Amino acid sequence: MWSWDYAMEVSLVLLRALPAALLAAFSGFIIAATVGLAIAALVRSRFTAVRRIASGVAHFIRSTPLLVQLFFLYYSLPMLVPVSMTAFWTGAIGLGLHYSTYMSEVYRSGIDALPKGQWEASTALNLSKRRTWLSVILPQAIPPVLPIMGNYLIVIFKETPTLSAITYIELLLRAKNEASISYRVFEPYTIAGIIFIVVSLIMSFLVGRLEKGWRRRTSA
Amino acid sequence: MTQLAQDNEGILESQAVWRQGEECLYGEKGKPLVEYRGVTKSFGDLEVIKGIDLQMHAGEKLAFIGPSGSGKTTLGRMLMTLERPTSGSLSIDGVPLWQMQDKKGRWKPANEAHLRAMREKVGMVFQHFNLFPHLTVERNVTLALTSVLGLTREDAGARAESMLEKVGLLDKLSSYPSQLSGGQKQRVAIARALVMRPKVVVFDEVTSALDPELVGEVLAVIKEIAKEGETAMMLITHEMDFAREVADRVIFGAEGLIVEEGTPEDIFERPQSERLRTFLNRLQEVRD
Repeated sequence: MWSWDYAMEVSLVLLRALPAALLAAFSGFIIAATVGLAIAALVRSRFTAVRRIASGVAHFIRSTPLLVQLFFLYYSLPMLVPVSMTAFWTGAIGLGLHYSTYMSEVYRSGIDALPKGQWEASTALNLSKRRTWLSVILPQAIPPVLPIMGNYLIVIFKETPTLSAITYIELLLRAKNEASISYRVFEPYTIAGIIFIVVSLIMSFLVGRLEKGWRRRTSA
Repeated sequence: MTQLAQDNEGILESQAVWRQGEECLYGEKGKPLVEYRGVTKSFGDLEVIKGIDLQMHAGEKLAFIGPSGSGKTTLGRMLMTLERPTSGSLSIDGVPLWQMQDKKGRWKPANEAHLRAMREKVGMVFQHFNLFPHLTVERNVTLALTSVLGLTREDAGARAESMLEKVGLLDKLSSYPSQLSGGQKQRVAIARALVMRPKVVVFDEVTSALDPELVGEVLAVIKEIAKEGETAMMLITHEMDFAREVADRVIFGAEGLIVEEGTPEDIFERPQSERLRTFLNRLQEVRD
């Protein structure tokens, strides 16, 4: 049932799909981090309409499945507007938008943890809203939540097989293709799973390092 | 007399009439720097300020005393635009703080741009310092100089240094707030507020969060700055000796109203109202 020779062979094939999976994960993460920050700022806007729209959109995105969003972006959106994105960009943007709504909550927890006095001191010094965010709030709110953001990078990476549904060739789709060529279903999926575990472990080790580094810096 | 001279005469005359009008309105001291008119403030059902009329003149040192919950802090926070009055008007240099006129001259609630323009005249020192913990002492003091007043890093640095010298912390320029004692933190906060050269500074119970042995150094710095006299000070305080020594005028408030006001001698030597006498006696008992 299990052939070590075939396992070695398919490992090499699958590893060649790893960069594609990582690229999609990192791109999605960067989009999620950026859009998430925008959402976190918009839900604190002094304009009620902006607040409502931002939290409404975030709620909508979070409450619909990623797979549905990907299908919509990949198959339905091109019927509405004359743009067609590659599977990679659709996947990165889909992952990014979906997880931006979770990321905004991460930022929110960092921002809410700051004492009200930091906002009040900024007002008393007449800092602009922009300056308050850039120089006072974010430099204090983001470092403590970096580890949580790192964990979302791992979550997003583990979510990349969903992109196989829109024909993006990442680990799972490559494994499936291999299985359909060799008619061997055991090795490709097992190896794919192992690669996911190893990469996730490496990532969480790096996130841990980041966390420790930050702790050392703040306690100094 | 030439036409021009006649016109000038006319202008001067009307100026004089206008000045007299001002004097009737405001007394010999002229236009107040800060004026509260019928100001009230409610938080939900709780009315903390029940109608305050108050004038404060340029450079004046005003001490607010009274039991906790009397609304002293809220008065200061409204001036710093941290709380919006429920009704009444508050003006600085004769310009309403919380209202503004649109193009057609109709009054409407102040927008952020108006508040920003007005805030230039006000500074505040908080009970809990509220320093920026991720920035050095120097950057705490220069941040608003560079980003609000648009000074260069060098000019801001020079101004910050001379201000920090005044509060005796020149050697702490590159320290972080976490490396300072409470008293030192508060002195940095005072420098940070004053370096912006506001016309009035609200000192909101600035020694209440300090260990007793650190209170003296902070009060000494405030007294020193008060002597220079340019900046008006709203001193919300529980330190009676300090109020007596520094203030030109003392206001005793209770339950959201001004009960009594006068010179420090009036208030502390010749209290008129029963409430003030009780308040002072109780403080005396605590001390004895």
